[in-house]
Amino acid sequence: MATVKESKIDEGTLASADEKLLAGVDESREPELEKWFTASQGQLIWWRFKKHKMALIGIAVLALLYFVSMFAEFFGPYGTTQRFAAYENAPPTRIRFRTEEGRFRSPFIYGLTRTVDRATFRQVFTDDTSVMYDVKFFTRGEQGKILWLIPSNLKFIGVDGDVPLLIFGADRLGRDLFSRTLHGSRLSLFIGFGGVFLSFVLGTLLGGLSGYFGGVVDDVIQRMIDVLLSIPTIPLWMALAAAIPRHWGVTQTYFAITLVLAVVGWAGLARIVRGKLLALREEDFVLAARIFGSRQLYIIRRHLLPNFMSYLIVHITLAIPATILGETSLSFLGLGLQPPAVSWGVLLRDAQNITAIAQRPWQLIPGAFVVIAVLMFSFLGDGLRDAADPYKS
Amino acid sequence: MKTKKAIPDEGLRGDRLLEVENLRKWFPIEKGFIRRVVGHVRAVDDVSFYLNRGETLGLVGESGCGKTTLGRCVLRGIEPTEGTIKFRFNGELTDVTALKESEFRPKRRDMQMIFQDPFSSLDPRMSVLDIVGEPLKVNGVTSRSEIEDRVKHLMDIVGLEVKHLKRFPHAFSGGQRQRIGIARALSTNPKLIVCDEAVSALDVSVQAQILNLLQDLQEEFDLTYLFVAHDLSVVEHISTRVSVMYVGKMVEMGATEAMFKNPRHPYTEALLSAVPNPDPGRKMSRIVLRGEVANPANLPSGCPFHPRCAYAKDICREVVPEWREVDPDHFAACHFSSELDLVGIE
Repeated sequence: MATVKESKIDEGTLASADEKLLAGVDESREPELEKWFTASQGQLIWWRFKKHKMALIGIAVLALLYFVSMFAEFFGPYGTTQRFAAYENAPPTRIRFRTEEGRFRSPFIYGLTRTVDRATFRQVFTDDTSVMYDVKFFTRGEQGKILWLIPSNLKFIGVDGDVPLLIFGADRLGRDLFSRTLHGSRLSLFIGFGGVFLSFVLGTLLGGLSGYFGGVVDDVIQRMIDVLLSIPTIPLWMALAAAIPRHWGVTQTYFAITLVLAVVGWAGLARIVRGKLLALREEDFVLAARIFGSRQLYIIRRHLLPNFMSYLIVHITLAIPATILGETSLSFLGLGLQPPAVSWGVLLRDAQNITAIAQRPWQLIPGAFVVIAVLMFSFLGDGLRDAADPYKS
Repeated sequence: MKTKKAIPDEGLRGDRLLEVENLRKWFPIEKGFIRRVVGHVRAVDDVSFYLNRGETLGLVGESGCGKTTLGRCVLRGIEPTEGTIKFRFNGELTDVTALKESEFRPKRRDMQMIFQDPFSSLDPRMSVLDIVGEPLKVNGVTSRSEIEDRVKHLMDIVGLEVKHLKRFPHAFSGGQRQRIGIARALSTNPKLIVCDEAVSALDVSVQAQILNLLQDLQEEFDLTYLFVAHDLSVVEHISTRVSVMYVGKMVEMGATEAMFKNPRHPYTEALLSAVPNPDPGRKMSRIVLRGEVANPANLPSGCPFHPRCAYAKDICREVVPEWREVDPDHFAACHFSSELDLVGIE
């Protein structure tokens, strides 16, 4: 192969880079190639990851979700417990740009009047078109603490007047579902981290012991994992969650649920760590390090850990959505977080019966958030997995 | 039956760098949950040999005969089951197997290894500078500039471009990677280097380059090689002496030329007959061995080679042949070494 025609370096294939190297590439492209040759594995992974469009979408959407959840007090117009009498189970407020006369104007909403249909006993909400209320950005509202620290009553969006702006409608107690969803995402999204962090610690430790010592230790741990993985997840969660005392507060329950999810979650990770450790232990570069006099701990820290870190990160990324789903399922069943705590699962309990779904479909919106978060994590994990091994095309 | 000691008194051979006696590596075969040991794979079984300073001992044999395991045991990359390995540290032969790992660790720098696979032997996450400099760092060189200077020097010696110092292994071809591996092995100024199939994974043209490099380095740094290989022409090219292994046992060891010309073990004869000869006019008489290589977990009685040996007699089926010096410095383990007239190559 004497001439190289591609104008851009193909980051995906080592083989082509090798050929170029052997063929003696023309001088002008030298700096470009040198950049590729001196790239650390981290850089190679990043370059490959950047090419994965879905993963980039995933990371962008997740960043947005986490950002909004952190600043829920700012983005949500109301607090989680603020009730609007006469707005129980109200549908999402329509934001209008046209007046009754057909003129365009800045966004506004109407208040709602509630009547009961005499024939079906259903609540009917109708627009009260007598007064137009302006929708305002960066307005003032209920006092809250941003990031649990900064007292502020600044809101991203609000209404000038005493009618509520219910973007996702209201729940059965007349509370704003939009604000509650944003606040709930905080618990739901971060329980993923908490649970996965615990699984990570347990999984790495037990998987590491299993792979490192081998023999009987390995057998015992592996059989333990077999047993754990053979128990159906939901009944196991339920049994464990049922053991959480009812009188515990939100924080205590939160950590207990995290623990419950981690108890089940570590098994898969331990398997991965063990397998990777066994494979890496046999690599020649590990033997080489031993032969020139490295200590065991040094080898683990310098050679083994960095080499399976990327696999761990991928696994963790794919484990977070499982934890989010776990929390949602438990809370939905009433065994997880309890009101007044707000999470997506807790919110979905309102949509547990057929009446709710048939008549008030907006109460399923938190479910859509669960779907989006889980999907985005899957995209991200896919991208990371493809990028984690930069030497395979 | 214990093998006769192959090694004479030390006084006679002051140039000894390494003496291995009755080395064994048996891997246990475990079964069931409680890991009951039901047998052993005798990867290396009762092997004795020596290495003099500055020479190259070629170690040949079929796949799975234990030559790699033997190479690794000598450096205690794998712990041997039994036997002694004496190595000359600071002028004195010391039994390496008697040392604790912590005592042995600082001495390891004298015995290094070059690996077969140029891909798995280099950590993909480290640059050439880190890979070649790591043994220095581990052995107490702390100054960064000192490490960098030494690495540059080593790269120059092994024929790598110094400007590629910061490159990662993925940027190099197989032959270049092997050079990095050689530079790493040289970095601690070792006396002995075990070359474990160091050129087997390379193209023939690259093989020659690396072999020549190894020979140049040997002269320059007074190195001693234990050269593990399965290619007899490579071994003939580089070795002062050659030893042949068959299912974990050494069957013959002697000076290269003498052994190639006049083998003393039927297995060596068969191996030599398989070496391709470039002269088309020469008549080839290839000996094709019958049957399979013996199972190292379940060795045949007597001489392990007897089921495949054309010269086997009753005694071969019953008695394990002794490892004895047939001619001066020429050892073999065959009952009929002295009687058989075996064909070698010129």
